[in-house]
Amino acid sequence: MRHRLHIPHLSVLSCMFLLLAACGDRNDATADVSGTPLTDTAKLLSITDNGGYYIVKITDPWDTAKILHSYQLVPRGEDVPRVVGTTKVEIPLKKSLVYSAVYTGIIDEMGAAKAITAVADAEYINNPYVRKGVADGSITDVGSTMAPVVEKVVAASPDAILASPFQNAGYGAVSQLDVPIIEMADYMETTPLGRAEWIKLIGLLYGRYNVADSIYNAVSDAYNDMKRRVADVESHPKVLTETMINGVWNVPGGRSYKVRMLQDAGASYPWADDMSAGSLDMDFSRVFERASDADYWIATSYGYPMTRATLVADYRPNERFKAFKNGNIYTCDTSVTPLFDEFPFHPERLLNDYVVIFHPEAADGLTLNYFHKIN
Amino acid sequence: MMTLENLTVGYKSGSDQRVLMEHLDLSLAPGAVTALLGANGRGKSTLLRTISALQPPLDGRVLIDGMDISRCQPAQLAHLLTIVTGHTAGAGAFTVEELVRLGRQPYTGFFGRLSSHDKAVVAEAIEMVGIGHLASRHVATLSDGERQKVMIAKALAQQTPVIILDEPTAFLDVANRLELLMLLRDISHTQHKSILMSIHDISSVMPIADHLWLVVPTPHGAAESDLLTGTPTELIATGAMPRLFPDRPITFDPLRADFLPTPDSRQM
Amino acid sequence: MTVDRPISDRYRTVLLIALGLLTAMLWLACMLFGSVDIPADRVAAIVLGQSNDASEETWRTIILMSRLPSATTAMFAGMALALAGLQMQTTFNNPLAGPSILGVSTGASLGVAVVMLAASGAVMGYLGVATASIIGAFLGAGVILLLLLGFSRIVRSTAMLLIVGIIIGYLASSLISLLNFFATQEGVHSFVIWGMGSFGGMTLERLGIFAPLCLLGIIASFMYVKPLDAMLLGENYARNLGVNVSRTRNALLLLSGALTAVVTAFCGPIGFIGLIVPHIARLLLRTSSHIWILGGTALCGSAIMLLCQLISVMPRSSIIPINAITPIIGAPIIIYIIVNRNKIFYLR
Repeated sequence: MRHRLHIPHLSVLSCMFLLLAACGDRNDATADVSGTPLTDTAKLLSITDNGGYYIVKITDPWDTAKILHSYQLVPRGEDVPRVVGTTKVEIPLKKSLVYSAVYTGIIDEMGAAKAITAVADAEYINNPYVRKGVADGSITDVGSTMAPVVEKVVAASPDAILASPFQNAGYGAVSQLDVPIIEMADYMETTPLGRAEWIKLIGLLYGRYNVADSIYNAVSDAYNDMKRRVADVESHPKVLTETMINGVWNVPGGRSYKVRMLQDAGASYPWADDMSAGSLDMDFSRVFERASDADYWIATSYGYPMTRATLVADYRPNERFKAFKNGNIYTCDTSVTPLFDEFPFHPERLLNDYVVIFHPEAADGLTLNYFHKIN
Repeated sequence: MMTLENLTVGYKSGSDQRVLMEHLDLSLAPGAVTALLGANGRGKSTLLRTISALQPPLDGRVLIDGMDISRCQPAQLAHLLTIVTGHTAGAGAFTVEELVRLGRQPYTGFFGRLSSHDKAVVAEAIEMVGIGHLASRHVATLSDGERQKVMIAKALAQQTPVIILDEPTAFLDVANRLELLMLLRDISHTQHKSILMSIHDISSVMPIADHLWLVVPTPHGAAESDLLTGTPTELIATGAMPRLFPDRPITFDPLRADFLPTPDSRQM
Repeated sequence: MTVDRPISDRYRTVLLIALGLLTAMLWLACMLFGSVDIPADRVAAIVLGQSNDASEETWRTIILMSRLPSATTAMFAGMALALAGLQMQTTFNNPLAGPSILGVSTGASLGVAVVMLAASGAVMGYLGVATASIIGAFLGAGVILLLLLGFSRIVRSTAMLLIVGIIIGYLASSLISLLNFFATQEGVHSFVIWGMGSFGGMTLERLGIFAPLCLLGIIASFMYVKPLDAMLLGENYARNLGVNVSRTRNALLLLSGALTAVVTAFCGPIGFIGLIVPHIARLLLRTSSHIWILGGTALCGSAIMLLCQLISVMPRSSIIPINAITPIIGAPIIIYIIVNRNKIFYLR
C-alpha cells in the first residue's frame, strides 16, 4: 500500500480545483439525484440507481458536511440526460489507470483484470496478472503515484483513473487531462465493512456490480459470523499493536477502524476510551503504562521478519512487556504477505487471524492467513 | 632585529609567478619607527604579508634575531613579531581587557590562564596605550581610534621585538591619527622595538617616522618595484620622494613634506 | 550608544553556577514529570533503588529504562549540539552558522535514508531498525566530513569552504528527496518520524555508548579554548598568536562534525539548538571569551534541550516532536538577534 505525499505546488493547484468544484456544486444543487440506494454501511460513499444511470457521491472525509466528488455513471453508448454538477463516467471501463495494489487485487478477483491497462507504483503491486502485463508491456507503468508521467497517462488514454485522495493534495497534471479521477476515499472509512462496501463502486465501474455485490455480501456474512464466534467469550484479552519507531509509538485511536476490528475479534484495547478515529503518537512511557500487561502484541514489519531478537535490538525495554515474556507476539512481514493489499476488501480474513490469535477456543477449523507467532 | 636577505616577494599561482620586488637586502632599524610608503598596487601589502610570514617569499629570507621566519613554527614566530591589521568583527564581544590578554597567548598554558606576571604585562600595555578607562568596555562599542589602540595594546602585550602595522591610521581623524603615531614612536623608542607600518598619510608620518621605506617603480618601468630607504630628511634631500608617484598630476612639496596638486594639472 | 555595563568575573561565575543548577533542576523535572503521572516520592524511591514492590514494576521500567536515558540523552545532546554550533560560528566567523550548516547532519540523514528507504530488510532485521539507522547516520556523516576535510586541503579560504559545505549539504538533501520519491510509504513514514528528532528511542545500553562519545567531544571542545579565542580575531591574528590555523580549522571541523554526527545518529537531526544557544550564552555572559562561553553554551544547551523534552511529553494525548518545539524557542531568538543586530553589543 502506498500513498502520495504532499507536494506544495500541487496542493495549491488542488485547492484551486476544490474551490472551483465547490462553486460548481452550489450552482447545481437542484440536480435531481433521488434513486434507489445501493449502499448502506459505507459512510463516505453513496451510490444510487436512478434508472438508466447511477449517481455516486463521495463525501469529503476531512469535512463530512461537504461532498468531495459526485459522478454520474452512464452505461457506455447510452444517451441519458446529464446530471449537472457530476463527472460523467462511461461504464463499464474498458481501459483504466489504477494507482494502488488494493484495487488491482479486487478488480482481478471480480474477473475484470483486462480493464486494467495502466498502473502506478508498479513495483509494489504483487498481483500476478498485473506483474505479467507490466513485464510484457501490455500494461503501462506510469511511474510514481506522486508524479505520474503525464505523457504515459495520455498514451494509455484510460477511461478513468482510480486514485486515493489526500488531504490538501491534488493529483498533479493528470487532473488537467480530460480523464475522470475516481477519488477512492475508502481508506478513510471508520468501519471495516464500510470500507469493504466500496467494492460495489469498483464493481459498478468495471461492469461487475453483481459479482461485487455478492462478494460484499459474502464478506459481510463471513465477517459477522466471525464476530459472532467471539460474541459470548468471557475473556477479552488486552492487545497492544505495532512497535515504537524512532522514539514514537503510533497507536490507533480508540474510534479507529483498526481498533474496531480488534474489538470485533473479542479483544480489549488499552486506549478504547480515546475518541479519535486517527492515530496517536505516544512515547514508550505512556504505551508501557497502559499496555505493559497486554496479553497479546500484534506487530507488522516491512522487509524483514520480526523476531524477539529484532524487537530487543530495536528497543531493549520491549522485553519488559508481558506479551514479550509470554511469547504472545504475532507478526507479519507485509513486504511478502498480501495483508495490506487484501484487508480493505476482505476484512474477514484479518478478523479470522485475530479470532485465531485471541480466542483459539472459538477458532475451531480456522487457521492463520497472514500472521505467525514470533520466533 | 629584522633583516631581509635577498628577498623576492610576489605571487605564485601554479607555475606562474608574478614578482613585485626583487633582491631586497636591508634591515629594519631597532628602536625606531619605519614607515612603508607607496602607491596602491605596488606591493606594499605583499611585502608586509611576506615579512610577517603570512605568505612565503618567492626567494630569499626574512630573519628576526637570526631566525628565518618561514622556518619558524607559528608558536615560535608569535614571540618574534606581532601584527596589527585592523579590527575584525568577530572580536566585538571581547572586553578591551580580554582582547589585550589574548596577546599573552604565546606565553600561557593550555587553558590560557594568566600568571601574575602576564597580568602585569597586560596592565602595563593598557596603561601605555592609555586605554585604562576602557578596560571593561566591549570592543564593539568603541570608536575606530579606540579599537586601533586596543589592537596596539594587544600587540604590546605580546612582547615581540618587531611590530608590523598595516595602515594603522586608516579611518582615523587627524587628532587620533597623530596621537596614534606619536604613541607608536614613544613605544618604539622607550621599549626599543622595531615598528614597521604601511601608511598613506604622508604629511602625518613624515615628522614622526625615523625611517622610510619607499616602494617606487623600477626605472625600467614594468610592474616591479624598488625599495628606497633612508630617513625622511635624507630621502627628501635626495629627491626620492617624487618617485613615489611618477606620471601623476601631483608634486612633492619638500617644505610641507607632502604631495600637492601640480599647479597646471587642471588643464591637463 | 547603548550602555555597556561592565561585567565582573564574579557575575559570570554566579551565572554559570545558576545555569548549572537550572540544568540539574530541569533534568530532575524530566525525571519527575513525563507522559505518565508518577508521584515524586515514588520516582525518588525508584531512582534510589528503594522500590521493591512488584506493583511498581511498570513504574520502575518507565523511570529507569525510559525516562532516565531520555532525560540524560537530552542533557548531553543539548551540550554537544550547542558546542558544535559555537565551534562552527567561531571557525567560520559567522553568527548564523550552526552544526547543520556544513551538511554533516544532512549526511547523517542521508545515511539513515539509505537504511530506511533503500537498504534491504535483511540489514534492518539483523541489526534492528534503530541500530541500523545509527550506523547509517554515522557512515553518512563520516563520508560528508571526509569530503569536507578533503576540500579543506584544496579550498584555503574559510568562506569558500563554508560554501562548499553548504553545497555538499544540498547534494545530500537532493539524494534524500530522490530516495523518498522511490520509497515505500512505510519507509517514508519512519524516515519522517526520525527527522522529527526524539530522545524517546534511547535505552540505557545506547546511552552507554552515546554519553561517553558526547563527553569525549565536550571535553575536547574545552581543549580548544585558546585557539578558538584567537580565531575570533581572524586568521591572520590567529596565526600571529601562534595558532596553526589550517590544522585548528580542520580539528574544529572534525570535532563539531563528530559531535553533530553522534547526536544526529542517536536522536535524529535536531535543529536550531546549535545556532541559538551560543548567542544566548554570549548575551548572558556578555563576552565571547571561550573560557566562559564554552561552559555557558554547554549548560544553556542542556537546559534548553531538557526544556524541549519536558514540553514534548506534556500534552495528555500525544507527544510533540522535538523539532516542532526547537523552532518555537529558537525562531524568536534568531529574529531578535537579526532585528537588534545593531544594538547587540557584540554584533556591531
